[in-house]
Amino acid sequence: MPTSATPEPVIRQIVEAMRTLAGPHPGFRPVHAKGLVCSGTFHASADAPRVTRAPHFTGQPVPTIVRFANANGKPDVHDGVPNVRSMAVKFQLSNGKSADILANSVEGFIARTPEELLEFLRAQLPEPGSGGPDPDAVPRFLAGHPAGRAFVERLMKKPVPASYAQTVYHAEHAFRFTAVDGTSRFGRYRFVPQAGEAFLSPDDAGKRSPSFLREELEGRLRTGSVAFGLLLQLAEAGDPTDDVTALWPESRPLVELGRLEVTAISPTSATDERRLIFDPTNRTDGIDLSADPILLARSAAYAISYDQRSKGE
Amino acid sequence: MKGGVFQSAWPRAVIPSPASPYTAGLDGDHGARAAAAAIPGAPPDLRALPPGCAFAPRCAYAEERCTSGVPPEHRVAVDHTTRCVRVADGSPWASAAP
Repeated sequence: MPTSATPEPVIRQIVEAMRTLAGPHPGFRPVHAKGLVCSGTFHASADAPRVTRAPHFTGQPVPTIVRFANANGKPDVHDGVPNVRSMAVKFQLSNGKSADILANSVEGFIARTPEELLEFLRAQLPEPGSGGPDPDAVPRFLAGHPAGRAFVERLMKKPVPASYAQTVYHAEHAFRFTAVDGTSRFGRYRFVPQAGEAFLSPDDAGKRSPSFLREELEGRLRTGSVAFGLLLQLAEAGDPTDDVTALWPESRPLVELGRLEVTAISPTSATDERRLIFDPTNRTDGIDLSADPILLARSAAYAISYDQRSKGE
Repeated sequence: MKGGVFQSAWPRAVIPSPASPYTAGLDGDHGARAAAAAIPGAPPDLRALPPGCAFAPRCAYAEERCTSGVPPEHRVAVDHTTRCVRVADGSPWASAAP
Protein backbone atom coordinates (compact mmCIF):
# COMPACT_ATOMS: atom_id res chain seq x y z
CA MET A 1 0.00 0.00 0.00
CA PRO A 2 1.52 3.39 -0.94
CA THR A 3 2.36 5.87 1.79
CA SER A 4 0.09 8.87 1.80
CA ALA A 5 1.12 12.21 3.26
CA THR A 6 -2.54 12.81 4.10
CA PRO A 7 -3.20 12.42 7.84
CA GLU A 8 -5.09 9.22 8.55
CA PRO A 9 -7.91 11.07 10.39
CA VAL A 10 -8.62 13.06 7.20
CA ILE A 11 -8.95 9.85 5.20
CA ARG A 12 -11.28 8.37 7.83
CA GLN A 13 -13.39 11.54 7.79
CA ILE A 14 -13.70 11.33 3.99
CA VAL A 15 -15.00 7.76 4.20
CA GLU A 16 -17.33 8.72 7.05
CA ALA A 17 -18.71 11.71 5.13
CA MET A 18 -19.34 9.48 2.10
CA ARG A 19 -21.14 6.95 4.31
CA THR A 20 -23.28 9.66 5.86
CA LEU A 21 -24.27 11.00 2.44
CA ALA A 22 -25.11 7.53 1.13
CA GLY A 23 -27.15 6.49 4.16
CA PRO A 24 -26.96 3.05 5.78
CA HIS A 25 -26.37 0.31 3.20
CA PRO A 26 -24.50 -2.48 4.99
CA GLY A 27 -22.04 -4.36 2.84
CA PHE A 28 -22.00 -1.80 0.02
CA ARG A 29 -19.39 0.72 -1.02
CA PRO A 30 -20.13 4.27 0.22
CA VAL A 31 -19.70 5.53 -3.36
CA HIS A 32 -20.07 3.70 -6.67
CA ALA A 33 -22.47 1.41 -4.80
CA LYS A 34 -24.65 0.20 -7.69
CA GLY A 35 -22.40 -1.94 -9.81
CA LEU A 36 -22.32 -4.67 -12.35
CA VAL A 37 -19.45 -7.17 -12.60
CA CYS A 38 -18.53 -8.53 -16.00
CA SER A 39 -15.82 -10.71 -17.45
CA GLY A 40 -13.70 -9.87 -20.44
CA THR A 41 -10.38 -10.21 -22.21
CA PHE A 42 -7.68 -7.66 -22.92
CA HIS A 43 -5.50 -7.85 -26.01
CA ALA A 44 -2.40 -5.65 -25.94
CA SER A 45 -1.39 -3.78 -29.07
CA ALA A 46 1.98 -4.07 -30.79
CA ASP A 47 2.73 -0.48 -29.69
CA ALA A 48 2.13 -1.08 -25.97
CA PRO A 49 5.61 -2.46 -25.08
CA ARG A 50 7.11 0.75 -26.44
CA VAL A 51 5.37 2.53 -23.57
CA THR A 52 5.43 0.04 -20.70
CA ARG A 53 7.01 -3.28 -19.86
CA ALA A 54 4.06 -4.17 -17.57
CA PRO A 55 3.24 -7.82 -18.32
CA HIS A 56 -0.37 -7.27 -19.29
CA PHE A 57 0.80 -4.93 -22.06
CA THR A 58 3.45 -7.17 -23.52
CA GLY A 59 2.14 -10.71 -23.74
CA GLN A 60 -0.79 -12.96 -24.34
CA PRO A 61 -4.49 -12.03 -24.00
CA VAL A 62 -5.25 -11.30 -20.34
CA PRO A 63 -8.47 -12.29 -18.59
CA THR A 64 -10.09 -9.29 -16.93
CA ILE A 65 -12.83 -8.49 -14.47
CA VAL A 66 -14.75 -5.32 -15.29
CA ARG A 67 -17.09 -3.45 -12.95
CA PHE A 68 -19.39 -0.73 -14.23
CA ALA A 69 -21.00 1.47 -11.60
CA ASN A 70 -22.87 4.63 -10.76
CA ALA A 71 -20.82 6.94 -8.52
CA ASN A 72 -23.86 7.47 -6.30
CA GLY A 73 -23.64 5.89 -2.85
CA LYS A 74 -27.11 4.38 -2.93
CA PRO A 75 -27.20 0.81 -4.29
CA ASP A 76 -30.80 1.23 -5.46
CA VAL A 77 -30.31 4.57 -7.23
CA HIS A 78 -32.26 5.02 -10.49
CA ASP A 79 -29.94 4.65 -13.47
CA GLY A 80 -31.33 7.90 -14.88
CA VAL A 81 -29.96 10.08 -12.09
CA PRO A 82 -27.20 12.34 -13.47
CA ASN A 83 -23.83 11.43 -12.05
CA VAL A 84 -20.43 10.06 -12.91
CA ARG A 85 -20.37 6.48 -14.20
CA SER A 86 -17.31 4.35 -13.71
CA MET A 87 -15.51 1.44 -15.23
CA ALA A 88 -12.98 -0.48 -13.15
CA VAL A 89 -10.84 -3.12 -14.79
CA LYS A 90 -8.81 -5.79 -13.05
CA PHE A 91 -6.21 -7.50 -15.22
CA GLN A 92 -5.63 -11.03 -13.90
CA LEU A 93 -1.94 -11.70 -14.40
CA SER A 94 -0.44 -15.14 -14.89
CA ASN A 95 1.61 -14.87 -11.67
CA GLY A 96 -1.54 -14.73 -9.55
CA LYS A 97 -1.32 -10.98 -9.04
CA SER A 98 -3.51 -8.35 -10.57
CA ALA A 99 -3.34 -4.79 -11.86
CA ASP A 100 -6.21 -2.33 -11.86
CA ILE A 101 -7.39 0.66 -13.85
CA LEU A 102 -10.20 2.84 -12.49
CA ALA A 103 -11.83 5.28 -14.87
CA ASN A 104 -14.78 7.68 -14.87
CA SER A 105 -17.17 9.02 -17.47
CA VAL A 106 -16.09 12.57 -16.61
CA GLU A 107 -12.48 13.63 -17.04
CA GLY A 108 -10.54 14.94 -14.04
CA PHE A 109 -11.82 15.15 -10.48
CA ILE A 110 -13.70 17.47 -8.16
CA ALA A 111 -10.81 18.16 -5.78
CA ARG A 112 -7.04 18.37 -5.93
CA THR A 113 -6.28 17.14 -2.42
CA PRO A 114 -7.97 14.89 0.14
CA GLU A 115 -8.54 17.97 2.32
CA GLU A 116 -10.38 19.69 -0.54
CA LEU A 117 -12.44 16.56 -1.16
CA LEU A 118 -13.43 16.47 2.50
CA GLU A 119 -14.47 20.12 2.26
CA PHE A 120 -16.66 19.33 -0.77
CA LEU A 121 -18.27 16.34 0.93
CA ARG A 122 -18.95 18.29 4.12
CA ALA A 123 -20.62 21.02 2.08
CA GLN A 124 -23.30 18.45 1.22
CA LEU A 125 -23.85 17.15 4.76
CA PRO A 126 -26.86 18.20 6.81
CA GLU A 127 -26.17 21.08 9.14
CA PRO A 128 -26.60 20.34 12.83
CA GLY A 129 -30.10 21.32 13.86
CA SER A 130 -31.49 22.17 10.43
CA GLY A 131 -31.81 18.61 9.10
CA GLY A 132 -30.57 19.64 5.66
CA PRO A 133 -27.41 20.93 4.02
CA ASP A 134 -26.72 24.61 3.65
CA PRO A 135 -27.99 25.34 0.10
CA ASP A 136 -25.17 27.80 -0.44
CA ALA A 137 -22.38 25.52 0.72
CA VAL A 138 -21.73 23.64 -2.54
CA PRO A 139 -21.95 26.79 -4.73
CA ARG A 140 -19.56 28.45 -2.29
CA PHE A 141 -17.12 25.55 -2.61
CA LEU A 142 -17.31 25.61 -6.40
CA ALA A 143 -16.83 29.38 -6.49
CA GLY A 144 -13.62 28.95 -4.53
CA HIS A 145 -12.39 26.00 -6.57
CA PRO A 146 -12.55 26.76 -10.31
CA ALA A 147 -11.16 23.35 -11.28
CA GLY A 148 -13.92 21.69 -9.26
CA ARG A 149 -16.50 23.90 -10.96
CA ALA A 150 -15.12 22.92 -14.35
CA PHE A 151 -15.49 19.26 -13.39
CA VAL A 152 -19.18 19.77 -12.54
CA GLU A 153 -19.69 21.62 -15.83
CA ARG A 154 -18.18 18.69 -17.72
CA LEU A 155 -20.49 16.33 -15.84
CA MET A 156 -23.55 18.35 -16.81
CA LYS A 157 -22.61 17.99 -20.49
CA LYS A 158 -22.64 14.19 -20.10
CA PRO A 159 -25.21 13.68 -17.35
CA VAL A 160 -26.42 10.18 -18.17
CA PRO A 161 -24.83 7.76 -20.66
CA ALA A 162 -27.30 5.88 -22.83
CA SER A 163 -25.27 2.74 -22.20
CA TYR A 164 -22.36 1.61 -20.12
CA ALA A 165 -20.88 0.76 -23.51
CA GLN A 166 -21.29 4.28 -24.88
CA THR A 167 -19.19 6.66 -22.87
CA VAL A 168 -15.47 7.32 -22.73
CA TYR A 169 -14.00 6.45 -19.35
CA HIS A 170 -11.05 8.59 -18.21
CA ALA A 171 -8.60 7.38 -15.59
CA GLU A 172 -7.96 10.65 -13.86
CA HIS A 173 -4.58 9.99 -12.26
CA ALA A 174 -1.23 10.13 -14.04
CA PHE A 175 1.21 7.24 -13.79
CA ARG A 176 4.80 6.92 -14.91
CA PHE A 177 5.21 4.21 -17.53
CA THR A 178 8.57 2.56 -18.19
CA ALA A 179 9.05 0.83 -21.51
CA VAL A 180 10.94 -2.33 -22.35
CA ASP A 181 13.88 -0.13 -23.45
CA GLY A 182 13.94 1.63 -20.05
CA THR A 183 12.54 4.99 -21.15
CA SER A 184 9.84 6.54 -18.96
CA ARG A 185 6.92 8.89 -19.58
CA PHE A 186 3.86 9.99 -17.67
CA GLY A 187 0.47 9.12 -19.08
CA ARG A 188 -3.24 8.89 -18.34
CA TYR A 189 -5.44 6.00 -19.48
CA ARG A 190 -8.78 6.31 -21.18
CA PHE A 191 -11.20 3.65 -22.44
CA VAL A 192 -12.87 4.65 -25.70
CA PRO A 193 -16.01 2.73 -26.67
CA GLN A 194 -16.14 1.09 -30.07
CA ALA A 195 -19.88 1.87 -30.17
CA GLY A 196 -19.25 5.61 -29.85
CA GLU A 197 -20.64 7.94 -27.21
CA ALA A 198 -24.33 8.58 -26.54
CA PHE A 199 -25.98 10.46 -23.70
CA LEU A 200 -29.52 11.04 -22.46
CA SER A 201 -31.08 14.10 -20.95
CA PRO A 202 -32.00 13.65 -17.29
CA ASP A 203 -35.69 13.91 -18.30
CA ASP A 204 -35.47 11.11 -20.85
CA ALA A 205 -33.28 8.97 -18.63
CA GLY A 206 -35.67 9.36 -15.69
CA LYS A 207 -38.49 7.82 -17.73
CA ARG A 208 -36.55 4.62 -18.33
CA SER A 209 -36.47 1.56 -16.11
CA PRO A 210 -34.61 2.03 -12.81
CA SER A 211 -31.88 -0.39 -13.96
CA PHE A 212 -31.96 0.38 -17.69
CA LEU A 213 -28.17 0.49 -17.92
CA ARG A 214 -27.94 -3.11 -16.76
CA GLU A 215 -30.78 -4.22 -19.03
CA GLU A 216 -29.26 -2.41 -22.00
CA LEU A 217 -25.91 -4.09 -21.43
CA GLU A 218 -27.55 -7.51 -21.05
CA GLY A 219 -29.23 -7.03 -24.41
CA ARG A 220 -26.01 -5.86 -26.06
CA LEU A 221 -24.02 -8.83 -24.73
CA ARG A 222 -26.60 -11.31 -26.03
CA THR A 223 -25.46 -10.51 -29.55
CA GLY A 224 -21.73 -10.08 -29.02
CA SER A 225 -18.98 -8.56 -26.95
CA VAL A 226 -18.65 -4.88 -26.03
CA ALA A 227 -15.29 -3.43 -27.01
CA PHE A 228 -13.23 -0.51 -25.76
CA GLY A 229 -9.89 0.74 -27.01
CA LEU A 230 -7.47 1.42 -24.17
CA LEU A 231 -5.53 4.56 -24.99
CA LEU A 232 -2.78 6.34 -23.12
CA GLN A 233 -2.54 10.10 -23.26
CA LEU A 234 1.14 11.00 -23.02
CA ALA A 235 2.26 14.03 -21.03
CA GLU A 236 4.61 16.63 -22.41
CA ALA A 237 7.26 18.40 -20.34
CA GLY A 238 5.55 20.77 -17.94
CA ASP A 239 2.18 19.00 -17.85
CA PRO A 240 1.14 18.58 -14.21
CA THR A 241 1.27 14.96 -13.10
CA ASP A 242 0.35 15.51 -9.45
CA ASP A 243 -2.87 17.47 -9.95
CA VAL A 244 -5.91 15.32 -10.70
CA THR A 245 -8.01 18.38 -11.54
CA ALA A 246 -5.62 19.67 -14.23
CA LEU A 247 -6.42 18.24 -17.66
CA TRP A 248 -3.74 18.00 -20.30
CA PRO A 249 -4.37 19.53 -23.72
CA GLU A 250 -6.27 17.28 -26.12
CA SER A 251 -3.42 17.77 -28.57
CA ARG A 252 -1.24 15.45 -26.49
CA PRO A 253 -0.40 12.21 -28.32
CA LEU A 254 -2.50 9.12 -27.68
CA VAL A 255 -1.01 5.63 -27.87
CA GLU A 256 -3.29 2.64 -28.23
CA LEU A 257 -2.31 0.12 -25.57
CA GLY A 258 -4.84 -2.48 -26.62
CA ARG A 259 -8.42 -3.56 -26.85
CA LEU A 260 -10.72 -4.70 -24.06
CA GLU A 261 -13.62 -6.97 -24.93
CA VAL A 262 -16.31 -7.28 -22.29
CA THR A 263 -17.95 -10.62 -22.96
CA ALA A 264 -20.51 -11.38 -20.23
CA ILE A 265 -22.17 -10.15 -17.08
CA SER A 266 -21.13 -12.36 -14.22
CA PRO A 267 -24.02 -14.50 -12.95
CA THR A 268 -22.47 -14.01 -9.52
CA SER A 269 -22.10 -10.24 -9.91
CA ALA A 270 -23.70 -9.32 -6.58
CA THR A 271 -21.38 -11.53 -4.55
CA ASP A 272 -18.35 -10.79 -6.74
CA GLU A 273 -18.55 -7.06 -6.15
CA ARG A 274 -18.67 -7.49 -2.39
CA ARG A 275 -15.37 -9.34 -2.22
CA LEU A 276 -13.53 -7.43 -4.94
CA ILE A 277 -11.46 -4.29 -4.48
CA PHE A 278 -10.40 -2.12 -7.38
CA ASP A 279 -7.54 0.18 -6.42
CA PRO A 280 -5.71 2.40 -8.94
CA THR A 281 -2.46 1.98 -7.01
CA ASN A 282 -2.60 -1.79 -7.61
CA ARG A 283 -0.14 -2.06 -10.46
CA THR A 284 2.95 -3.95 -11.63
CA ASP A 285 6.53 -3.33 -12.64
CA GLY A 286 6.60 -0.87 -15.53
CA ILE A 287 3.94 1.39 -13.96
CA ASP A 288 4.77 3.79 -11.12
CA LEU A 289 2.68 6.18 -9.07
CA SER A 290 2.75 9.92 -9.52
CA ALA A 291 2.89 12.28 -6.53
CA ASP A 292 -0.85 13.02 -6.85
CA PRO A 293 -2.12 13.31 -3.25
CA ILE A 294 -5.61 12.02 -4.12
CA LEU A 295 -4.10 8.93 -5.76
CA LEU A 296 -1.83 8.28 -2.80
CA ALA A 297 -4.72 8.53 -0.34
CA ARG A 298 -6.96 6.08 -2.17
CA SER A 299 -5.51 2.81 -0.87
CA ALA A 300 -5.92 3.87 2.75
CA ALA A 301 -9.49 5.02 2.11
CA TYR A 302 -10.38 1.82 0.26
CA ALA A 303 -8.89 -0.29 3.06
CA ILE A 304 -11.09 1.47 5.63
CA SER A 305 -14.12 1.11 3.39
CA TYR A 306 -13.40 -2.57 2.62
CA ASP A 307 -12.98 -3.35 6.29
CA GLN A 308 -16.36 -1.77 7.02
CA ARG A 309 -18.28 -3.34 4.17
CA SER A 310 -16.76 -6.78 4.72
CA LYS A 311 -18.05 -6.61 8.31
CA GLY A 312 -21.50 -5.74 7.01
CA GLU A 313 -21.31 -2.20 8.37
CA MET B 1 -12.56 -35.12 -18.16
CA LYS B 2 -10.69 -35.89 -21.34
CA GLY B 3 -9.32 -32.63 -22.66
CA GLY B 4 -11.55 -30.65 -20.31
CA VAL B 5 -10.90 -28.14 -17.57
CA PHE B 6 -11.92 -29.39 -14.14
CA GLN B 7 -11.53 -26.13 -12.26
CA SER B 8 -10.53 -22.74 -13.55
CA ALA B 9 -9.43 -20.11 -11.08
CA TRP B 10 -6.30 -18.25 -10.19
CA PRO B 11 -4.06 -20.13 -7.78
CA ARG B 12 -4.91 -17.86 -4.88
CA ALA B 13 -8.53 -18.91 -5.17
CA VAL B 14 -7.90 -22.56 -4.48
CA ILE B 15 -4.73 -22.50 -2.39
CA PRO B 16 -4.71 -20.86 1.05
CA SER B 17 -3.00 -17.50 0.93
CA PRO B 18 -1.36 -15.58 3.76
CA ALA B 19 -2.46 -12.33 2.18
CA SER B 20 -4.34 -9.73 4.18
CA PRO B 21 -8.06 -9.43 3.49
CA TYR B 22 -7.35 -6.24 1.56
CA THR B 23 -4.76 -7.90 -0.66
CA ALA B 24 -7.04 -10.89 -1.08
CA GLY B 25 -9.82 -8.59 -2.27
CA LEU B 26 -7.46 -6.84 -4.65
CA ASP B 27 -6.37 -10.06 -6.28
CA GLY B 28 -9.82 -11.56 -6.46
CA ASP B 29 -9.27 -14.14 -3.71
CA HIS B 30 -12.43 -16.00 -2.82
CA GLY B 31 -11.59 -16.01 0.85
CA ALA B 32 -10.47 -19.65 0.73
CA ARG B 33 -8.61 -20.03 3.97
CA ALA B 34 -9.05 -23.73 4.79
CA ALA B 35 -5.94 -25.87 4.65
CA ALA B 36 -5.50 -27.56 1.27
CA ALA B 37 -5.78 -31.34 1.56
CA ALA B 38 -3.73 -33.66 -0.63
CA ILE B 39 -5.66 -36.03 -2.89
CA PRO B 40 -4.62 -39.61 -2.04
CA GLY B 41 -3.46 -42.13 -4.61
CA ALA B 42 -1.56 -41.81 -7.86
CA PRO B 43 -2.55 -39.52 -10.73
CA PRO B 44 -4.41 -41.30 -13.52
CA ASP B 45 -2.72 -42.50 -16.69
CA LEU B 46 -3.24 -39.59 -19.05
CA ARG B 47 -3.40 -42.06 -21.97
CA ALA B 48 -6.39 -43.81 -20.43
CA LEU B 49 -8.35 -41.39 -18.30
CA PRO B 50 -11.34 -42.76 -16.39
CA PRO B 51 -14.81 -41.80 -17.64
CA GLY B 52 -16.35 -38.67 -16.16
CA CYS B 53 -14.35 -36.70 -13.63
CA ALA B 54 -10.68 -37.70 -13.67
CA PHE B 55 -10.46 -37.08 -9.93
CA ALA B 56 -13.38 -39.39 -9.09
CA PRO B 57 -11.39 -42.62 -8.42
CA ARG B 58 -9.38 -40.80 -5.74
CA CYS B 59 -12.11 -38.50 -4.40
CA ALA B 60 -13.68 -39.27 -1.02
CA TYR B 61 -16.88 -37.52 -2.11
CA ALA B 62 -17.32 -39.14 -5.54
CA GLU B 63 -20.79 -40.32 -6.53
CA GLU B 64 -22.15 -42.31 -9.44
CA ARG B 65 -22.85 -39.17 -11.45
CA CYS B 66 -19.17 -38.22 -11.24
CA THR B 67 -18.23 -41.22 -13.39
CA SER B 68 -21.25 -41.41 -15.65
CA GLY B 69 -20.18 -38.51 -17.85
CA VAL B 70 -18.25 -35.26 -17.87
CA PRO B 71 -19.98 -32.94 -15.38
CA PRO B 72 -21.08 -29.61 -16.82
CA GLU B 73 -19.15 -26.47 -16.00
CA HIS B 74 -20.46 -24.49 -13.03
CA ARG B 75 -19.52 -20.88 -12.37
CA VAL B 76 -18.62 -20.15 -8.77
CA ALA B 77 -17.63 -16.52 -9.30
CA VAL B 78 -16.62 -14.20 -12.10
CA ASP B 79 -13.10 -15.63 -12.10
CA HIS B 80 -13.77 -19.19 -10.93
CA THR B 81 -15.44 -22.15 -12.64
CA THR B 82 -15.59 -25.80 -11.65
CA ARG B 83 -17.00 -29.09 -12.90
CA CYS B 84 -17.33 -30.59 -9.42
CA VAL B 85 -20.96 -31.61 -9.01
CA ARG B 86 -20.77 -31.13 -5.25
CA VAL B 87 -19.92 -27.47 -5.68
CA ALA B 88 -22.65 -27.08 -8.27
CA ASP B 89 -25.07 -28.51 -5.70
CA GLY B 90 -24.00 -25.85 -3.25
CA SER B 91 -22.33 -28.48 -1.09
CA PRO B 92 -18.95 -27.12 -0.06
CA TRP B 93 -16.33 -29.78 0.44
CA ALA B 94 -15.70 -28.57 3.95
CA SER B 95 -19.18 -29.49 5.11
CA ALA B 96 -19.73 -32.64 3.07
CA ALA B 97 -19.43 -35.97 4.90
CA PRO B 98 -16.83 -38.31 3.38
